[in-house]
Amino acid sequence: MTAGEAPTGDRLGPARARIVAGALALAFILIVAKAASIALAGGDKVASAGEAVQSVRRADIVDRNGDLLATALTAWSLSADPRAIWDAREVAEALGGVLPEVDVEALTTRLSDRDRRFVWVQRGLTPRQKEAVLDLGLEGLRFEEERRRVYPAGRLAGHLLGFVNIDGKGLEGVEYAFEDRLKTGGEPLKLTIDAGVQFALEAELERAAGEFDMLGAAGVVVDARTGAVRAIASWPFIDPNKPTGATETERVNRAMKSVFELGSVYKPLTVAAALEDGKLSLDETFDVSKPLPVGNAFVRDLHPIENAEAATPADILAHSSNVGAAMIGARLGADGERAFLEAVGLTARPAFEGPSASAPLLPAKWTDLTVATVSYGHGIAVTPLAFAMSYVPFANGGDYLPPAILEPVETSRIERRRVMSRETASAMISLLRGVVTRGTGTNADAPGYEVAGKTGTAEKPGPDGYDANRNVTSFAAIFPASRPEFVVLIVLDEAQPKSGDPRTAAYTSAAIAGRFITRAAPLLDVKPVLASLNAPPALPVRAQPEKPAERPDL
Amino acid sequence: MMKQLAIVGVLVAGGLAIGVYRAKLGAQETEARIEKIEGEIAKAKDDLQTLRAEEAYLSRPERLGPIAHDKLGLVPETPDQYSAPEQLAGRLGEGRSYAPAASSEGGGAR
Repeated sequence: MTAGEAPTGDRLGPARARIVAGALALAFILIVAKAASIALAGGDKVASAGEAVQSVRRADIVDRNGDLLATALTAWSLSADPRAIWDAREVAEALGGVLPEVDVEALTTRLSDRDRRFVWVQRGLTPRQKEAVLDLGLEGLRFEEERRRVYPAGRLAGHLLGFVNIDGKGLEGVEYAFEDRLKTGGEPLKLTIDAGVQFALEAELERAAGEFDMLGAAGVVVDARTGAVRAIASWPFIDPNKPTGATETERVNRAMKSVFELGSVYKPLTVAAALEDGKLSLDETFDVSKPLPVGNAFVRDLHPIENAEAATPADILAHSSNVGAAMIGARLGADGERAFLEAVGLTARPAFEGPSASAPLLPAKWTDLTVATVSYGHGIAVTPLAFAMSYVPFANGGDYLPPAILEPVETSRIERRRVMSRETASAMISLLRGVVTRGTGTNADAPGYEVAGKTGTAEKPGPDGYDANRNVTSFAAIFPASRPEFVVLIVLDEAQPKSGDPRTAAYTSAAIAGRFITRAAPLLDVKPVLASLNAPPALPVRAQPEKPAERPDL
Repeated sequence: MMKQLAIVGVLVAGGLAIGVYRAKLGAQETEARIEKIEGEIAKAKDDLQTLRAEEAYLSRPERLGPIAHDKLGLVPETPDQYSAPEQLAGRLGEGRSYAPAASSEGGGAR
């Protein structure tokens, strides 16, 4: 330092002090601003790890009483990083010891592939399985939390419920039809079916499978006042917990996806249409003792008809006369017959909120012969669900109602369609009751429940025409006749009684329907008609049963 | 003066920094607690759902029916278990259409 120079520290001191003060002031301002920001806004939002893991739980499906039919439970999927695994075989064998579904050889191969960083081991592990894997203390494994769809009642209503894929997406049935509603979670989806009634129906179909050799079966139960489906089943059943293990025949939903020519259960529709059009009166008589020529074919009855030379409409239904039905059908003509079938929902796919049902197979041309065959249920094929709905107007005083499978069914919002008068509906109930008390349906009688109904035995079409050795037998029932509440339809595909009885509806589907009604009526809260308990029982079905051949004699 | 101001500033800034740190720490602790409680709620819901599924599995009709029959002798009701009101009078005797009422003096239905 030379003389005359001012000391550097003295010269820069004030400036340094101002810089320090300025920096402090700036820091102070920043801190105050941040503090104010935190105080006012609450600070930065830190994403919760829990939120990241939690996914929307697929909504439950319950029956009308709230009983659980489908739910989503937490499960884990197990994956592995092959590069982090030292001995692939050892890991695969250890996992195979606690996870029986693991294919040890295939897993060993996949875990040995060092080019991969990720392989699935198994998805949908239960908490116990997860603990068992953790207890192995293996390296290179990772668990992913996910949802697993579970059907606690097993195969109950399996076809209606449908199932989901491994990623929880609906593939069939209600699961598919209501995918958008279910995947957003929330309140359970409440169906109209009653688990108890559904079980009774399935139990009776399974019992039928024990008594008859048969290909399949379907059953439908409908509340005639609302159209609500209380039970709908298809045998063989499917377990939605294991859809991939189901056979092709188990996958078929015969109640909604298969169409059948159902035979004589159509005769009441023919009679009702003629009554409603004023083209038939109940005291008329028909000579059904001889085959009826229609075009270049003959319609004939292959079993004896009581009062054949002067059969009333009641006789025609009670003894299931093809000739009589064809005569009445001819009065309706193609337009009249077709219009009535359209009115009761048999010429189009059933329209309702739920899983789609198959469209009917209708005649390409409505000739005189078509009119005759359709009058007794040949030449037209519909789903059991659609057909069950066609009997609803008989039971509720004349209104067709669309089927409903979703609660709540609000009476004011039901789209009713008047298809017959109350008088016609009432007359039909009496005629159908006669079928059970003195005709082909006596085996369907359920003491106290006044079953009214009609048998149907139809030959199945094959490549060479109708096959007399393969039948679809059905019974459409309404009960109790004096205050109708429910419609029941039982359809059996190629049912052959093991007892040696004839393979007609009188001995197959009618008996199943009667047993089911006896069992299910209390569950449906139908009180027995006590007066009918004291009435004489229905006559046993006659020794010479209705023969199956209901096709025209071509 | 500047020196004193600087010292006061440093102290205030330090105090504020500590305050902000504690506030943040407290918020994080609260968030962790909320997260833990939410996790517990989610687990409780999972457990409840599992229990509901187990209940549904155990109470399915195909299982309960045989148990009710074998253990309790219960069978489905039948129409002949019903009686008309006028028939009840005969069953109960003395033209009564109702069961005797319970009374403190005994003898009645309880």
